[in-house]
Amino acid sequence: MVETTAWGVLLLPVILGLFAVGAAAFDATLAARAAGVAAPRSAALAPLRSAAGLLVQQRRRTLAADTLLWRAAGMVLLVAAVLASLVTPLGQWAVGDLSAGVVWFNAMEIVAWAAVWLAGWGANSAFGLVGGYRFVAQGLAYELPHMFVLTTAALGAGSLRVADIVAAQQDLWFVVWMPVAFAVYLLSVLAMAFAGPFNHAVSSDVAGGVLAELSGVDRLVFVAGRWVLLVSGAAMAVPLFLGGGSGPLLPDWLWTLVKTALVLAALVWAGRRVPTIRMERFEEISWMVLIPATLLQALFVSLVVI
Amino acid sequence: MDGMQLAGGVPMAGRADDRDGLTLDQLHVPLGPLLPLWPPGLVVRTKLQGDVIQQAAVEVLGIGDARGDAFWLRPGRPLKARWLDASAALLAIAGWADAAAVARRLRDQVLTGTPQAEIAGPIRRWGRQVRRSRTLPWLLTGVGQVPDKPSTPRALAGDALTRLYRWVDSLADPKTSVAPPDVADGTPWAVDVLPSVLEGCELATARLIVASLDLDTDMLTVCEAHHG
Amino acid sequence: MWREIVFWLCAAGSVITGVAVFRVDSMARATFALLASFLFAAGTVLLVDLTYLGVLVILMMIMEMVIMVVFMLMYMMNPAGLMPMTMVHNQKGSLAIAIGTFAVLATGIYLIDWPTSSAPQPEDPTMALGEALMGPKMLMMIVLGLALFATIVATVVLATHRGRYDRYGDRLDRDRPDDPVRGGVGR
Repeated sequence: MVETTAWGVLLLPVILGLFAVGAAAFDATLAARAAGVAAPRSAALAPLRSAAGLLVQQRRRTLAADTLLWRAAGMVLLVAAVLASLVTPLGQWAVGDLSAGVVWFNAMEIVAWAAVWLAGWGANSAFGLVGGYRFVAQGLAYELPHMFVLTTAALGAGSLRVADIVAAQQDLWFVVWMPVAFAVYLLSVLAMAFAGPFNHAVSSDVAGGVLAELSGVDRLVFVAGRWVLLVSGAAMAVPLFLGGGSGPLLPDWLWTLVKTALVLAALVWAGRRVPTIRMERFEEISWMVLIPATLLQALFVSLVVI
Repeated sequence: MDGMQLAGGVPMAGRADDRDGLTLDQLHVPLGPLLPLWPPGLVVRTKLQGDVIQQAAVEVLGIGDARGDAFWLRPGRPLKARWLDASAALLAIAGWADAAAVARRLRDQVLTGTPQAEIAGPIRRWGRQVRRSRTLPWLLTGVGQVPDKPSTPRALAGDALTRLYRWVDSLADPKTSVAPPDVADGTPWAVDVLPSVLEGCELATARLIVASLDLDTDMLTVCEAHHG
Repeated sequence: MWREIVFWLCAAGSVITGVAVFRVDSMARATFALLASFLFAAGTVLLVDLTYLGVLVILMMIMEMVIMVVFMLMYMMNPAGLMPMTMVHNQKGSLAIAIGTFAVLATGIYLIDWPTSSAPQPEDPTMALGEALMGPKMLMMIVLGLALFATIVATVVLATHRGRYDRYGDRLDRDRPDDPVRGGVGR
């Protein structure tokens, strides 16, 4: 019931880009409102203004930087973030309907591990490197629960194909009977896009971490990649847990967009409500609480399926 | 041995034993003297292994040019504003940008002389929000625990969380609105104790600890001037 | 037609990046060159419609290499390649082994009479491949996988520097473990 469309290759980056700009604008508006700025509406344009500034900014150089790997980091992050959405259906169209779509999505988001580490490594700066290593630690913390959650959704449908997972939710959305999996999925989406409370890799206590020395176009590409990754994660929540495009009145592609926007807005909003979660604390929570919780959820789902 | 060879003009790192019984490269990273949300002039010279601080040496630049003038001691600088300032810095480094932004806005309102009646409500609301957060205690408990000795200033006892809560609670207390600026400041003591608190910490907590101790390097110049 | 082009691109890319592993000075670059080589190899797996296996290779290799780069930098000298060094040891011997292996495999490819089949492609090639490889021993292999995993966990537990007696005291009576860094569960 999901058909693949070739022209979607052209449309996908545009949609993701619009969502990313929208999310960044929403984030900037929330920040302006907290700071008590008189006109929060003009703050919504702040991301575009700073993007334009970065475009004309000259690159900062650091001593003995590994320029090749450093420049590659942003490109890799952006491309992988777009590719992650290759299997996400928009209503009934998807760019690629792989038989192992869920695994593909997971593989593309793992690319962020490499990209963020490279961005930290390339600058030859202590703060950047600390940020890069923090993200690897964060990856080890969120990835296992995340994988179990993806497995749980696939278990419920009995297939790794995203279209089958959507089809399995015709009667009952997965979010209803897999609430733990859904919650952990949202957490790990924030963590994999190092956004919200999981921005330890780029936090202010290490002068911006992997972003510390990134400047100009490189920084723009990297930050854009990060927002697109968050969008990709939020968009995948819709077919995995929220019934894909199903809904009354509106056409299913519109429902997908609406649900994605809601999930994205909730993630951005929640991310601002909580201070940065440091890895030494999150690691233990993740392994002692989240992994058992997701395993129990997977067990429950497999019992129901059987 | 490695000091002879230079890579990009920088000597290679030497090695030393670390906390976990490994021999790892040692990196010398100075923090300060000028960083956002950092006491100006404070320099912490750290020896890092991985991101664990093995050794820290603290110095304060610019004490020599003591003018005996401190920002928070000038008239019209109530203690309330200083507490809001300190809370804002700690919250910002803890990564809670929105709560920090509110605290900064309130601080500016206090400094520009907004009447007490007008500002008490917003401060109480902000304080309730900070105290209500469940993540904050989870993240700050045990960070920057100072030794519990008779010499420990009462305002600085405990860990980062108790200090933050102390500021927040005092802000909500109507009696403190008239309290004069405090000359008996904890900064000299905090600077003395800082290296021992920082050692063995991860870099992640170093800046939290410094922010939670509310160091006012201006005060040091004042103390210097008083003692000759 | 396009499959052949993609195959040769993947094959050439895999070899070139594989060579690069030994030509670069920096451990970081060597690791990521190796990663690129594996990703090209995964491309060839995808070409024979083993989607699950191909994507899994991509997934596992990225994870593995990011973790490996941490250890490469930690234990190897000259991690950033800031000073000239070589990744090659025992050059003659390894060259002989490499050429020998290549020759044996290449002649093997041409000498073996590869079977052809006119049977339609199975619906799930990964499943078909698994059953062809494992056959009736599938259950045993699954159990073996679990045993291997248990061995890894047991090895880590045995090798750990600080056990529960270091953390909770000789009588295991401490309320909160004595750790160098406080964890998140708050015990």
